[in-house]
Amino acid sequence: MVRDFSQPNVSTPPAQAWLVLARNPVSAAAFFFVPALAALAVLAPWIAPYDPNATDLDHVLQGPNGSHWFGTDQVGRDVLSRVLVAARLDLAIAVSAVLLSFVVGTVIGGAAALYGGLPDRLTGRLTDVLMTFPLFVVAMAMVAALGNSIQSIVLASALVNLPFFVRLARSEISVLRTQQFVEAARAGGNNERQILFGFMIPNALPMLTVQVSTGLGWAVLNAASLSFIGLGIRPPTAEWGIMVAEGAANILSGFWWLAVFPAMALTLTVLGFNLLGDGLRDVIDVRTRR
Amino acid sequence: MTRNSDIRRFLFRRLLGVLPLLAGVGLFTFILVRVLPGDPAVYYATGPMATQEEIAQVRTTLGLDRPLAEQLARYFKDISVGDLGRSLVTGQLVSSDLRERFPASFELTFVAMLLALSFSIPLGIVAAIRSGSWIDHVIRFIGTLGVSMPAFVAGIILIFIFYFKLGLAPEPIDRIDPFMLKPPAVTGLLMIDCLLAGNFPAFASALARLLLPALTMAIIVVAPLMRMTRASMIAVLTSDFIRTARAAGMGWWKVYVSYGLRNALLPVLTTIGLVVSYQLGANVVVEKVFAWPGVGSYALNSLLATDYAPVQGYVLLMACVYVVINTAVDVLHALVDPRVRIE
Amino acid sequence: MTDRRAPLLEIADLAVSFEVHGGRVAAVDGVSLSIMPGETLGIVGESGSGKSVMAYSLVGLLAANGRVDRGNVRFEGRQLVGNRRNVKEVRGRGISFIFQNPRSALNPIRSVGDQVRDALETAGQATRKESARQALGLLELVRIERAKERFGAYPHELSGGMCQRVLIAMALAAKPKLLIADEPTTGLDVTTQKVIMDTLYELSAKEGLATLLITHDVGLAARYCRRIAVMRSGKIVETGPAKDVLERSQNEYTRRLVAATPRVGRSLSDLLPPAERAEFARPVQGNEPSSARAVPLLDVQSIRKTFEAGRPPATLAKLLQTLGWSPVPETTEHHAVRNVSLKLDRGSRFGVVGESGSGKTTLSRMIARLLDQTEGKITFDGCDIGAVPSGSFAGSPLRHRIQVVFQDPLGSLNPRFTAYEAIRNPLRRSEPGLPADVEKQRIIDAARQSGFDPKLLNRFPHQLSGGQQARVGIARALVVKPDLLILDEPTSALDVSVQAVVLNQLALLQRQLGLTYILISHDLNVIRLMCDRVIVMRSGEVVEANDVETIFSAPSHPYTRELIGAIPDLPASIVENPS
Repeated sequence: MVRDFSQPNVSTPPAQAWLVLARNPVSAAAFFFVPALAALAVLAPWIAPYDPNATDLDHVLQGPNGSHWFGTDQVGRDVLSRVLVAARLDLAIAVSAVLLSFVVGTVIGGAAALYGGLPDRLTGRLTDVLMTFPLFVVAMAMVAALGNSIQSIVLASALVNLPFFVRLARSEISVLRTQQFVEAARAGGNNERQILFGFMIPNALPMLTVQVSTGLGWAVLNAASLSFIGLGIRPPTAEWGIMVAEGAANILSGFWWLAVFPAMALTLTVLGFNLLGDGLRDVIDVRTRR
Repeated sequence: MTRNSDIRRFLFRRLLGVLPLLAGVGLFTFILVRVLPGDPAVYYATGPMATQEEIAQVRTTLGLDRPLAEQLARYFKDISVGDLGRSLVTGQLVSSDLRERFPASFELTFVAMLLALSFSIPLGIVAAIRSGSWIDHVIRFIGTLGVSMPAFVAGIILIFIFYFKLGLAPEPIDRIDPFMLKPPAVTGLLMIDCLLAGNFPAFASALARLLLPALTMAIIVVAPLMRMTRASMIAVLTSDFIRTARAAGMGWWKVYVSYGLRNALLPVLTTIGLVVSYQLGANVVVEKVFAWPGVGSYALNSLLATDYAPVQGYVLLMACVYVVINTAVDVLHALVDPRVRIE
Repeated sequence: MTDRRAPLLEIADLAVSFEVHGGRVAAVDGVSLSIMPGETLGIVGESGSGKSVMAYSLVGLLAANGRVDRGNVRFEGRQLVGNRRNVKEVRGRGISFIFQNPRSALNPIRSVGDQVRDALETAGQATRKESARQALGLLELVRIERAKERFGAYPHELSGGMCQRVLIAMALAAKPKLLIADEPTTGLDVTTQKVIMDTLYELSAKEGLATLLITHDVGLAARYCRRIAVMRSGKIVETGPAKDVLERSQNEYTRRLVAATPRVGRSLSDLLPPAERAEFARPVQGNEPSSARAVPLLDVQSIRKTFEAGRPPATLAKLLQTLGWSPVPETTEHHAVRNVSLKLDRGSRFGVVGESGSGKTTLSRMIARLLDQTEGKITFDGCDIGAVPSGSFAGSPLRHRIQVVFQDPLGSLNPRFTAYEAIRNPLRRSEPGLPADVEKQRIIDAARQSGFDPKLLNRFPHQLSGGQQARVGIARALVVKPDLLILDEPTSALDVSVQAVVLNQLALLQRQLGLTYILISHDLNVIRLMCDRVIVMRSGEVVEANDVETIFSAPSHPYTRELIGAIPDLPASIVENPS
């Protein structure tokens, strides 16, 4: 019970962040990579060298060369342009889906933990039921039910992330409820709403932010997987999953660039989000430890 | 303190807790089918060539014109006896289709999980012991890379490398060389059946074809398992009771394996339960990529053909599998950790 | 008196450092000591002194980033530093350890009996077959009641005191020559502390063990150790017979440490070194509470609090019973507070004493309206505040008049608020219309009053020391000008020298502001210094209520006597036994 209080720690948040990043260069790379990727995606229509849907039957199935860095596909479309435009689409889907599940999940989970009792247990039960199903299968069924559109993919990807946000919000808030500074806040005259927004949510945000980052990765994965199996977004829309599916057929004939570039883009994007989430978690650990 | 009665009570409470879960699952799948586009009566009709009268007949027989609550009750009754309807595509009962194809998926998932564990646990332990070093970073990076790859990307890359470039793996179609004689189906698990029949060439062939898809399904779940092993191991290594054990002069094995590992693996056990769900989802995609004749590809093909009874049956089956696995995990946990038994 | 025998343990110029980001930190900086066979040596120091680190380094129990930089450690003549084989032989056999936080020091998934057996078998004292019987014997030796029943119990099923006994049993398994006890009683109740230490003392005497007792509690060391070494910042500042060190020390730090330990016959200002007393001895003008108030400030009548654990549904219970399984326990009710009444006049200093589970914290929360009572009336300055549910009290105009200073200095501060924001928050809530400059002045004044340097106001909690964190908590409570202040173990997490300053500060504040306070503590010495009247609580009930001097000089209830007897007190308890 007698802790070492004698040496106060004067490090500031930027110093802590720097500490973590210096030790882990890969996480540091992610901190730069993700914003760069976002920038690329947003600017895609302007920086893409060719029209992603323009076919050019004179230049079919060309390997990577000077005028087509990623080569061309079976109807002559420029693979690089398609990959860039697909980035925009996939990221837009991911961001919408995660935003939706973050807001809905945090509110539901947080409210449940705050009220406790029956709403809390009911929420827990419902989340458990939802997680009993392989979430990808549920997503599949949703897209089949709602029809092949971007909205259905967004909703399905939101659903895949939802239980994680509910669980996290619930566990964070229920731990925070018992903290002494929350009790102190009550003694200071704060009502429940002021406590929730002033004391609990700001302290829960770090972990939620980590989940947002990894959630973005999941959402991209999910959207691409759905398109791969033929649900949701249909060709000729440029989307990474579809491109890999079409490219897979050609891979065994030796035209590897059709599948490999979108696959790499996909993997690097998800990797970037995951590493970002890990880096954020490390920064939080440093902060909470001292 | 009476260990056995504690465990029995835990088991009972746990099983009791499963019932509302299963009820929720049933309700969910019921809603699922009602929500999918199309006329349910058509799914359950005797065949694709059903006439209007037959369909109307089916509708009344199935009670689809009855109030929803009654339909729900009927639905529960049906699934509890295993009547899952009939597939339009195969023309057979969904339950028999599933029974036929389940062993293939089970074999695949089981081997995948074994592979995943045999990679993640040792790697996690090494990463924990050498925490902070470059080995730790490399291991964690590889794990993250694996989980960042969608299942289909991993599968395609593996096929590309091992089949196409290196020529080591056989063609990614089916579970065994189509020209080889299959052993008599005793368990449905091809590898076991091969061993039972003493048919070693068939066993080798089956193993070779199982390897790539199982590896694909393993790669995508190594990260969470390894992470948990690492975190848990680090927590245990710095814990007070390990210090006590060391202070008491206990030997290496006793301290780090008997006291340490056993405690460290408990959270990993729980993680297995969570990870299985992800694997079952990825199963669909992997079976498509490798043309594996399991329930995943069955469900997918049915979905794309708007044949919904198999999809419903598949979803129910997956949910039940998950519940069984998680209950087993919890019971195992309770056997090892006495704190869990009292709630 | 010189001892001609060879020392059991000889430490010469030991230095230990840790690797942290940005370099190495020295934890132990040139320590030299020796322990004779059978003697009890106490190492006393505050947090950060390096006493535990030194002990761990003796048998290679340091964390991975720790390293012995230089020095010699000889046990029975054998070198331990850098010699793995010797260390291996000595661990658990020549030298044994017991730790603080006993429950977490035991393997949670293994029964206590089995763990003792493991210790026995490791030490080569028993084979697999015999170890069970011997383990049982050891458990009985350390006075675990119903040892046979408890043999198969798991650590989480036993109390802290019992877990510590199991650890002692494990330590004794190998019949060691030296027992190192690292803060063995921290976190245990005062009465349990005494029992554990007495058991330890007796066993050491019986088995001829030498003991190294590491503690921050000067009183504990005085009572149980023949020689004492005082450590500070990794160095030993003084060693000698206990009586000499405690009563006749020439070392400034030792004298300060000893002075700061509250005990019989000393006043608050005695806790501080003479140079620092003046600050708190300032005369106070005005603010004398008019004793002509007839109405008591606080009137608590027959207050009661019962917690109900969730009950399983009746049908489930019946079902289990019909299946023949052991009956599910009925609804468990926990009577945290049973029928407590008290009255407080303005300006009074009231103490509540009790061990864990006595209900003192629950009582304080109900008075502070952070928890609803099950029954009973609470009247504050004539208003029935008990009728206001705790959930709505935040909006009441009376809220700011009752404030709390919490036990955990760090945990009671919002990690996202600077000290300034933490103090500002309740002020904003109670006086929302305050102009910005007035608000700022109030905050700075509150900080100064609590002894908190206003220059540190823009720091976050984790950037402050424990004492500074405690002061922010006090400032936060005072800024809204409360009438009643509830102090819940305000200094129990602080070093004794910091505690001395904080207590003096509180006393000064009470005089200056005419505060009424309720001080809750398990430490009777602190209560004695800070309070005029006391109630002693046990299992939710008040067993004795009286003014402080009577309680100490003539306690009427046996439990009170037990509590007083359990305090290791100076100087009367200094060990006289020359062996």
